[in-house]
Amino acid sequence: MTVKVLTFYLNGSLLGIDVTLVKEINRNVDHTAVPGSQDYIVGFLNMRGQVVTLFNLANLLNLKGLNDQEGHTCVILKTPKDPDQVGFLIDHPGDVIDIDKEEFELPPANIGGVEGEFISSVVKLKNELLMIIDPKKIFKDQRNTEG
Amino acid sequence: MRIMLEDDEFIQSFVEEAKVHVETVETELLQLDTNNVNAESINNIFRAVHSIKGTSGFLGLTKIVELSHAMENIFGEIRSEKMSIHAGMIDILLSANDCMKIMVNDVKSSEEVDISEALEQLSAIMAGKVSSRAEVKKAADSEENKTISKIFDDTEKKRLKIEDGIERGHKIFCIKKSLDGDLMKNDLTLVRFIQQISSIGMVIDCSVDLNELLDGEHEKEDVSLEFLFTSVLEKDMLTSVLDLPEEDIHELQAADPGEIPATEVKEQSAAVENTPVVENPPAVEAEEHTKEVHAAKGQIAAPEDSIRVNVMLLNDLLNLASEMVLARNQLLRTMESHKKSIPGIEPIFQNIDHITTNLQEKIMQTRMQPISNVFNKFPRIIRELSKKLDKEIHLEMEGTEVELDKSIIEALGDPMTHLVRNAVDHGMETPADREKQGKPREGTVRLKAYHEGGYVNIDVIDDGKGIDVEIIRKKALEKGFVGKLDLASMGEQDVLKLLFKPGFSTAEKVTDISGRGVGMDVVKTNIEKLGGTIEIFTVLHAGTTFRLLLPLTLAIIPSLIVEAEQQKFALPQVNLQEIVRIKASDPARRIEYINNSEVLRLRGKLLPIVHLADVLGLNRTYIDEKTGESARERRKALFDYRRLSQTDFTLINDQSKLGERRRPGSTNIVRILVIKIGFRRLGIAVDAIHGSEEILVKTLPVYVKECKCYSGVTILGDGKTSMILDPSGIIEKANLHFLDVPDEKKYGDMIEESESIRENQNLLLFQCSGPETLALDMSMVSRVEEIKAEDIDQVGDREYIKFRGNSLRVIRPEDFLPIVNKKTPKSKYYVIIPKLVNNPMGILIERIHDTIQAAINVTQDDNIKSKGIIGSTILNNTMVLLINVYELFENANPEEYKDETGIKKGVKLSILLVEDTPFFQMLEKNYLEDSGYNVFSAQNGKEALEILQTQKVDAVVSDINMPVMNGLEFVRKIRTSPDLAHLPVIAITSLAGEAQVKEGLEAGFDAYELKLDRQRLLSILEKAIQKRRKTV
Repeated sequence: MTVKVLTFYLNGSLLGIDVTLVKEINRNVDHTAVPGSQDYIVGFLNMRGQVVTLFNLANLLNLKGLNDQEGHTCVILKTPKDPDQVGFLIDHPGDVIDIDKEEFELPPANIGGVEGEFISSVVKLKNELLMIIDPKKIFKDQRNTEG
Repeated sequence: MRIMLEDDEFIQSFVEEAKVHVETVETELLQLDTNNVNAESINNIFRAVHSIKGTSGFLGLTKIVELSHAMENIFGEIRSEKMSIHAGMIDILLSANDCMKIMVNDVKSSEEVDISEALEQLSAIMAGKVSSRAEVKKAADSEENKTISKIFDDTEKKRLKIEDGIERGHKIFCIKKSLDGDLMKNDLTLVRFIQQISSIGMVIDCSVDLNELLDGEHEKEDVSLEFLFTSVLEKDMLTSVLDLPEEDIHELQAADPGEIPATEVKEQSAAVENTPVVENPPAVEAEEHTKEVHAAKGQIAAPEDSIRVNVMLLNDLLNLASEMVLARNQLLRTMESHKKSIPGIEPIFQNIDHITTNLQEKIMQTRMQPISNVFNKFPRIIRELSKKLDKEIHLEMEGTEVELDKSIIEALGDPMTHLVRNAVDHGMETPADREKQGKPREGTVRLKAYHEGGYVNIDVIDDGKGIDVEIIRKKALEKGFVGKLDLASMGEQDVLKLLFKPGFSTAEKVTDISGRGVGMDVVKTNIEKLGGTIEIFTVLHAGTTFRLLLPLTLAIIPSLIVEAEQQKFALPQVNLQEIVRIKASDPARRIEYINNSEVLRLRGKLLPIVHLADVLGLNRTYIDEKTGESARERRKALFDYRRLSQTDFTLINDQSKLGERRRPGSTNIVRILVIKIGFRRLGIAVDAIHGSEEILVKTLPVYVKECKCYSGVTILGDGKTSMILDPSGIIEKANLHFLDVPDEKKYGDMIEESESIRENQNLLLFQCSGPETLALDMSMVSRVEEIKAEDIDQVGDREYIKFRGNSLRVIRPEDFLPIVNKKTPKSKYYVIIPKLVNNPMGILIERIHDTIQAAINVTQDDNIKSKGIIGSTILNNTMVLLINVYELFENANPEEYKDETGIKKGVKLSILLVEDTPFFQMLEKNYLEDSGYNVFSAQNGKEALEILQTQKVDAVVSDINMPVMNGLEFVRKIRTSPDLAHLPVIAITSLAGEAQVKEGLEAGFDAYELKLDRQRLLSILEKAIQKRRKTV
């Protein structure tokens, strides 16, 4: 069973997400900040008349790297049950690769804390490690804290 | 009985209709309860129940049929006056109707509902309220019942047959034949004919047209028969088989018989004879109605003024319209610059603009429903509650035709119910308590809906015991909602707001109606979800008002686009009162500081100012003049000077360079938006204002719901998203505490009001032989006559003219007043004939200038003061002297005027003069002082009362029309105050119609006089003082 995973670079790290959860990738997005919102909210984006909430994934995952991404590329997720659209900023996308289900390994024990929960599995690629994220967990948690 | 599930549409429309009928029944029943029996109500109920019975009958909803049938019977009896209705019955009927409601709301499981109790009670009514014709009636009833049910059964069977036929693809036909004429004559017995039909189809019904037979004028020998049957055959085949001409056979549309019970089909088919087209199934009405159908030959059913539309469809329409508005915004914005280059396109844009706005508005209106939909359930609720709690409560509703968007209406139901229950449970005292307080036993709850300032206000007003703010303070402290210090700084409104905190309840015990502390915060959240606010006003022992302010429209609102720190925000215009632009150099509008907070003095009122950037948490920046970079703004106040770099401190002591140090900020223009919500006002300072735009409100994504300052998000014309500001959220965030009771008139208001009430003086301007312009109050002028010099007769040193058959002395003002006296003979003169004077004399003058109506400020310049001149004023850039006629006359005729003195028994009497118009105040004060009274003056009732507290007076002379507290209120207050009630109070006024006089005397005045009649005033005053003295 192979799963297609969209890979992308965020703050130098390579992350991946199940491609079936992705709606689109947008470049040169013009987003407007929301003053007074939480740190991990980059702002809102106008996508063909819809308002998309943009998240700062690096912030959520606590990824160290280049700070303050003024990035203009983002991944927008499919949200069939939710009227609120969500997306997050990335540095630049990678390829969509096929990964065999057996290659998915549980994340190592030393990725602790909340961030560990957001990463569903890890895959060993030829040159690097790929971290697969679980968007449902991420955004559901954020929603809960908002109440 | 099976219910055909494919008939979901039928069921749906039945349910909708039935709901309306059930509502009608309930409303009418409640009305019957309070009013007397009204034939129309009875009819309405009967018809409603009959409709339900009919339609449910043939959808196979037996329980509904049974219940409605039972109710119909009762109302049939009442209608034909065989039974009379009374209170006990109403309760039973109401609960039976409730049963019906339950069944109608869930038709599919209506068969499982147990209606036996309701039926029992209803039949008890039928049996118990029987007149003397007991036995017969009973028998007849049961007989009737039996026959009715038999017909019912038959109807069922027939309907089944029809359905069956339709299922199998049969068509439905109707044939009308006369028994003798058509059948017998052709040697065809009835039985044979029916058998014939049965051979090619299934006979549903055969009936005799009794109407025709019975109400014909001529004796009928023959009778018409109608046959209803289904058949697979086509019409043309039928004609050959049955040997009948085609026009005798009518095909009924397959859909319709499915909806008409068989008994009705007979009537329908009669109508069919006249119209080839079968109408859409009308609601099943009583017999009379169908007779009308007979009569209305060929007429189609009355066109409906409304159409049922699926709500989802409307929602979609609304969304599309909103998107259209946004798209239009974008189009207009983008084309803004190119408009000029394309000829003829501008009017097209305007057209599209206009049409889009209208389209959106109209579609919004489709969803508007009158608020009566919410209000209508309250009569019942109040009835139940008052019974339950043993309180007498009367419900009044106002403004039921006010319309709101459907979603708001739906969301209002629960909060309002809670508020009403609160009012009844907590607010209302028991009838005994009310009596003790002198209130009427019956408490009143009023529901009022009205438009105000872009919002719809809904008030829930009760005249109960009000909310004790002290108790709330205590409870809040006890429960730890607020600290002691905070509590101390809270005004009444803030304390009342504590009621909305979850878990807060001052009820001693929890009833199942309220008291769990769960309700109020839910109410508040619900209302805020709709974008509204809730306010509380209360007066202890008098009552409480809860006011809901709801925005009129949800989706598209006009808003102002403002900028703070290079970010654009949208501010809904509904709360925007005005925009103030302040320049640092403008002294009239200055931002001042109270305790480090900025305020602006706007037309006499203080307005708190907050900076938008601060509230939102944006870092304030400014462009540094030297470097051109933006740097962090650390000043709190915009107009302070900026601290220069360290090196410049050496200049501080150098006085000559003092001027340079004070460098105003780079932004020396501040723009302030004045926002008003309810009674709260504040000013929001922004960097720039871009313009207004109609924006589509999109709800805030759940991730940022925490930010109170935003009420939504929108997409501007330039394609960028922008936050929509929420003024009440901003107020909360900025931690503004508003002090209470806006009705308290602040000083500024008072000035405005006094100015408007100040009476305009009507003056006649004229001139004597000198250059001075003189003026006389028009109310003292009876007429002005023009005379010729020769009409003046001289007797001694006095002059007389002939006036109305008598001789009238005339005087020249310049002879008695300190004005220029340059008499030269003229050919004509004018004579002013005064009124309100006991011994009138004509005033001879040379020129009339004009009459003028103005509020005048009289200056009593000591230079010009003298007997005869009240003072001077400036009108139209000329100085005008105001004449005191009485004094002038006194001068001219000293013997006539006795010395009136108020000195009695050596004590000088004091009078309190209450008058707001300076002119009259001066005039009257003069009269009174001249007569020897000591005069205290006050501008209005309130001041006067204050004076009365400290000074002893012997009488009061008061105007009626005054600001703050008018004369009527004032005298009432005097009469109800024990130590003041004895005072003689006289009203002097410019209004003296009979009604006003009556009002004044009723309010407590001893006398009611016209302003300028000095003699009368003084004599009445004397009399009043004496009279009071006697009574005291």
